[in-house]
Order: sequence, then structure tokens, then C-alpha cells
Amino acid sequence: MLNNNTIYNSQFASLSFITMITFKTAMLPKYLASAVGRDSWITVLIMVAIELLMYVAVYYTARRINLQEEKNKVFIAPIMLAIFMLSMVRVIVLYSEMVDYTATTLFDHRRSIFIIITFAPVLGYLVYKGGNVIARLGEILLYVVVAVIATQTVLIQIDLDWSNILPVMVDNGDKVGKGIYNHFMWFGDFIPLLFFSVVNNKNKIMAKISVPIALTVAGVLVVLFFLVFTAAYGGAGILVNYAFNKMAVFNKISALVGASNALSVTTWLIMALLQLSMLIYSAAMSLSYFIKKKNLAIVIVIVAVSLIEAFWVQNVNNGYAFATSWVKWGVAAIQYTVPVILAGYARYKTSKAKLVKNDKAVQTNNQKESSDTEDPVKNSQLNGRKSEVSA
Amino acid sequence: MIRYKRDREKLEEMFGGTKDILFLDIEVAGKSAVLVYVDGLSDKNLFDRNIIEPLKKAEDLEDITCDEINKLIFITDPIIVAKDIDEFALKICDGDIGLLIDGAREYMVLSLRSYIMRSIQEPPMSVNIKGPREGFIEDMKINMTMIRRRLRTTDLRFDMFKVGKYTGTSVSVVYIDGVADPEIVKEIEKRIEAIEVDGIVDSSYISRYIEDNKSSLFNQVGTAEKPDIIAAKLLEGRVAIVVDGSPIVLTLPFILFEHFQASEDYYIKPYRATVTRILRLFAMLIAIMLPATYVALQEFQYQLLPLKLLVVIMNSIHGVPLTPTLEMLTLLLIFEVLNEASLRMPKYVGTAISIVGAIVLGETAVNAGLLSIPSVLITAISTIGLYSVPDEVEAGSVLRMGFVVISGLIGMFGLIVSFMVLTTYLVGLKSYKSSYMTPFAPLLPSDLKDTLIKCNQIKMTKRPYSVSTSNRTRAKKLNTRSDKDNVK
Repeated sequence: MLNNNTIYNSQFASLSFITMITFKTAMLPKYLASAVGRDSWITVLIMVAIELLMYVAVYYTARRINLQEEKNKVFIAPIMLAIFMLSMVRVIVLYSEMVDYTATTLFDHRRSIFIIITFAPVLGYLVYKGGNVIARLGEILLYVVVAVIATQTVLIQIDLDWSNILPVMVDNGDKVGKGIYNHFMWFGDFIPLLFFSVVNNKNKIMAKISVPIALTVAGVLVVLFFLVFTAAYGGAGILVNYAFNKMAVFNKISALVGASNALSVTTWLIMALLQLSMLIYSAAMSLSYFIKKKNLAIVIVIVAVSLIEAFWVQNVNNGYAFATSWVKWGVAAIQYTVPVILAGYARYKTSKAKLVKNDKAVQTNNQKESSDTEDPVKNSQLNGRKSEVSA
Repeated sequence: MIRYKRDREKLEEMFGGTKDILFLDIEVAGKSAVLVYVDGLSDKNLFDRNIIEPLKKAEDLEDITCDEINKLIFITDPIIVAKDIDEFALKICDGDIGLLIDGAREYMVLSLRSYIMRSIQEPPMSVNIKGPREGFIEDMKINMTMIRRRLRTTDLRFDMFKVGKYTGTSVSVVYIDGVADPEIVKEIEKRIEAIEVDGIVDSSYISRYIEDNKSSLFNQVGTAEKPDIIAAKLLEGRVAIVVDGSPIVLTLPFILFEHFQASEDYYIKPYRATVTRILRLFAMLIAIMLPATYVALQEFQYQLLPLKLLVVIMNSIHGVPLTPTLEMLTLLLIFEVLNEASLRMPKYVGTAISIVGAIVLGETAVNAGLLSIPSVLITAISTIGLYSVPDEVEAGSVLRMGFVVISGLIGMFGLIVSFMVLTTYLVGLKSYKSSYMTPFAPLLPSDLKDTLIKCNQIKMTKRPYSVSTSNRTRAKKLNTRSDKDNVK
């Protein structure tokens, strides 16, 4: 039977696909349009490329070690602390985005505290069910996500002006750089995946191709989304909240069936819930490394996040201010070093395990040989058997 | 050696003078003997002709043993020897005939069971246009025979158990040795043996004891009323449980998608089967989500509706005194009451109730302005959808009411959140090593051949990976090209 956090390659692929797309297509296009302008897609291209490399490191680690079962306390404790802090910061920022999204798209007049209180037990339940269930949820929801993205892409009715993208980097990339260092929070969604341990699918083809395909498609989709967004809205992009939803508002059938973007609204919310559950899972699992009680860790994280959201962050603007404050340097440092360090550790551990295995094999061979030479009766019997076999 | 007088007295004491147990005293080769049996559970003619007469005519028995008596009487089932008086009494309660002879060595049990039972019919819930029509009945032996007739192999196993302190119900665990996973068989048998209860009157009692998650709303044990379905499931590596007195046979492990498969899907062309399966899934989703979505759209997100539809709805609900949520809940409750009444009533009264429900209640309520036409229409569509997957009616009807309440309180937001919780719950369920939502989560590509898309039977050469089995191969791959060449 699989451990609670052991998942298949295809499930890892589904989670990677969803996490890579979700929050990059909500408020980030607006933020980047404001900070970078027409070159926002280049910022995204660079960051997605780095993110893909990081995914490779995370996948490498997840295939070799199970972070939750590691016993090297001196090495793992600081890593767990770093992941806990990073996850909490990301949850605080992204939670405020999800609450604001719900309040603005699904209600006319509801206080955000009501939405925060409703989301909290749902997220708690998802995390309580464990990594395995989150992965299966991601796998089954991927059908919905892909179907909705495909439908909206086919039905999209948008007037694209590709001249909005040109000219490229007139300021020699200054704004692109600024966009990068202010928006680390929306990249590096791979950290929670470190808490999963990956095993191969029974289907060999699926085991080999699912992760590379999912990551490539997600990466291309994100960059393409920014290109289309810039081409569609140009300078007005700074006024567009929640681009994923807005891109689907006007389409070929909206006049016939009403607001068909309801599908996109629903899908994005489902994706956001899944990604936040993964972040809370990683925060809770890293906290449980210190307090040793998983359920208590989940409760602490959920209560803390709800209180912070309700009384401190309160709205998406405060969340953005927090994400772009000095906190971003801590986030960048942790999210780009931890996967690399863990991949190195996984490599060291695997090679060490191989060495131990080889040593043991050599030792047993030696023992066998020495016992063979010490026991003449057994030797003769063995020789006799050998000769029978060869005869 | 039995002690005739003492044992006979003990038997009389055990049965406490109950009038349906008869003690028939006879003489066998000059020795006192008694035949003990339940009145009405044996064939009286055969009993007289093949047992009583030969026993009375017996002369000079050297040794009164089972073998000697076997030579005298004429019955097809061999005589069983009970190990003590308690087992002897239990066999009598089962419907067998107990024979006590003074000076005999053994407690002899003769089987000549015969009682009136329902004839084999097509089950009302599994009607087919194409395919076998016979269904299980309440007699376990007949049900076992029907399964055996379809699986003529020495590997078919029937392991027998007795469950229930007072009912002593016979339960049989059925599987194909070499196909079913022995660990699963062992686990099922362990759970059946562990049941300590006064009585088992139907197979559903057993399913409550052996399912993995006992407080779940969803069925985690499959049910079938036809032997062809059971044979197919056994061939997939599943285990069946036949319970005496029940026409419903249980199957394990069970996955959610089995609800959307019908036996007829395998008897018709795969294209049609694919269409009907997609329709069933669509119908189930509509059944559960449509009333709640309608309420959410009316109460909170009316801007999502197309303008023309919104105008129609606004005109229809004008003057209705109830809120959309209360209106929908009232309608669903009325439907549940009508459903209960028409099921429990005799057939002709049931029809009358349906007419009263449909015409009098529905139309009058709409005309009186108490209910709106769209709500009645939505309830009707949802109910039709619900009954397109009969095995999920119980869970579906509870879920749709729950969703209506949630969407009435917080709209689409509540619906999305509840959908997430429900999906999380379902993907976390397990039934004997099998994930409930497999082959979609975890994804098993080879099993997708028999899910929403139904592939041709000849392409399904492997048993489903969603069920643990000890032998994965079920058919040889057909080399279609060489077959065509042969035809040429």
C-alpha cells in the first residue's frame, strides 16, 4: 500500500500543471502590466524557464527521498523551518487573492471575513485527507481544467493587436528586471511538491512522458497567455483584474447561453483551492516535523492563516504590498536554494545507498567464498553439483 | 454411540414443544427410532416413499451406521453425520430431516428439502432488451446453481459460513481460484466470520458489516440481481457474496464507475454503449447539481443567465410566495413523499397517487401561484436523471437536497466549495485495495477501455487493473490482420 504522500508520476504532472498556471493567470498579468508594461511576457518567459529548472530539481528529489521520513535532523530541521516560513508567506498572499476573487466575481455584497471563514474548513479538510488524496484530486480535476481551457480557447472572441507587444525591451530590460525582483511570490510554485514522494505509474509510457509533457504545456500556455493578454488589452492591462476570468467573458456563445465565463470562474476557483491546499499541506507538514502531531499542525496553520487574513491582510492590495516588501528576498532565497540543496542531498544519499549496497554485496560474496573454502565436504558437494549441471 | 432416550428428551427440550417441529416415531429393524423435521420443509411424497417405507421394512441391521442406512433409503444427497446433538438440532432447523435410532453410532441427517419459492424472473431493476433475463431468487441453492451453470470450471469456489445467532443464515463467498486475489478473499471471509449479530435477513445486512467505510453515504459494495453480471464480475477477479433469503448478490471490490455500467453494455455494439454511459453520467450530474444551480442562479448570480431566459423565469416566479430555496426544497420533499407512497402502496393505488402527484398537486399548485413552472420542471428533470442510475438514487437524493440548502445560503460559491469537498471525499474512499474513483484517480489508462468509452470486447485482453487479481490476462490478443487474410 502506498504511503499517505506517495504519488504516481501522472499525479505529480497534474499537480505541477495546475500549480504552474493558477495564480500566474489571475492578478499577476495586471501587476506585471503595471510594473513592466508590454514586456511582461518576457519577464514571465524568464521566470517560467527558471521555474521549469526548479521543477526538475524537485522531481529529482521527490523520486529519490521522502522528505517526511528523513531522519538527518541537523540537515532537515533548518530546511523544514525555511519551507514552513515560505509556505506561510505564500499562503497569506495567495489566500487574499482567492478571497478577493470570490468576493468580486461571485458576490455583490459579502464581507470577505465570511468567505475566509467558509474556505478555512474546506482547506483544512483537503489537507487532513493527506497528500495522496490531494494528488488524486488534482488528477481528476485536471480533466475539468483542460476541458474548460480548451473550450474557452476555441470559443474566444477577442480582437488581438500584436503591435501592442512591439517594440521589445526599449529600456534594455530594466523594467523586465524590476518585474522579476518584485514578483517572486507568483513564481516558484513547486515547493509543496517536495513533500510528495514519486513512484512510477504502472503504465511505462505514462511514467516517462507525463511530467515533461505537463510542464512543457503549462509553461508554453502561461507565456502564450501573457502574449495574448498584452496583445488584447495593451496599456489597459493595468485595469484588468483576474485575467483568467476576463479573457473568457466575451466569446462566441455568450450571447446565446449567458455568462459562459462562469465555467472559467468555477475552474479557477477549484484550481486555486487545490494550490492553496498544497501550500497549507507543506506548511502543516513542515510544522509537524517540530511538533510531531500532524492534525494539530493543520489546525494551527489554518487558524493562523484565517486570523492573519481576517484582521491583518484584509484585502488583496495589502497582500500585494506584503508580497513586494522585503519579504520577497526571503521568498526568493528559500524557493531557489532549497530545491537545489535537496536535490544535491538526494543525489548524495542515493550514491551512498548504492555504495552501502555494493559493500554489502562484496561482503556476502567474500563470506560465501571463505565459507566455501573452509568446508571441504560442502565444497565437494557443490563441485559435484556443478559438474552434474555442466554435464 | 448415541443415547437414544437422553438425546430424544434433549431434542424435545431444545425445541420446547414448538408445533412446527414434528417427531415421527418408527421402528427400524426392531429398534426404536424417531424422525425429526420441520413441517412443510420436506417433500411429503418422497419422504413417505423413499425414507419412511424403506426404513420400516428394514430387517436385521448388524451395525446401525450411516452407510447401512444409505443402502436402505432412496435420496440423492448423501446422509450427513452431525458431530453432536446441537449441530443435529441446527440441521433440523435448516430444513433437513434428523434420524435418531436406538443403538446407532451417529446422528444422521437426511436432506429432502422442498418448499414453495418464487419462480425465476427478470429483476425489475435490471431489465434488458438484449441479453439474459433470468434473475436471482431468495433461495441460495438455486442462486448458486445459476452461477455454477455459467462458470463450469473446477476453479469456482463456494466457501460457506453461518451468520446470525437466531437466523443462522447461510452465507457463501464465491470466487474463481487463480483469478481472485487470495488476500481479498481472506479479508472478506475474516470480516464475515467476525459478524456477531442476532440475525441476517438480507444481503444488505452483510454489506453494512464488510464495507471499508461504514459511515459513508456511498455504496462501497456492489450489488447484482442477475447471474450473468455476477459471472462477469467473478471473471474480472471480483468476489461475490450470496446470502440465503436474498435475491441480491454482493460483489467486492467496488468502484464508483460500476454504477454507470449496465450488463446490456456488453451485449450491444460498443458505440451505443459509450453513448449511454456518457448519458448516464450526464444525467447523474444533472440530477444532483441542477436544482442547486437553479437556486444559486436565482438567489445570487442571476447575471449569469441569458437575458431571455432570465425574463422567462422572472415572469414565472412573479407572485410566488416562497423564496427559490424554500420552493425547491418543498418540491423535492413533495417528490420524496410521493415516491415513498407510490412504492409502498398496492400497484393500482400507486398509479392513482402518481396521477394525483403529477396533475393535481403540480398543476394546481402552479395555477394557484404557490409554485413556479421552472421549479417543477427542474425537479422533474432532476428526478428523471436520478433514476437513470438506479443504484445511486439513495445517495443522489440526499446530495441534491444538501446542495440546494448550501446554494440557497451562499450561492455558486457554496456549490463550488461543496463540489470540492465531495470530490475530495470520493477520491479518498477505498474498497478492498481499490480506489473508489479509479480508473480516473489514480489514472489507469488501460482500464479506460471500459469506462465512459466502451471499447470492443476483443480489445480488453487484460482484467481491469482497478481490481486486485492474481491473474491479469483474460484473453489472447486477436491478430485481426491474419484473420482477414484467412478469410480472403
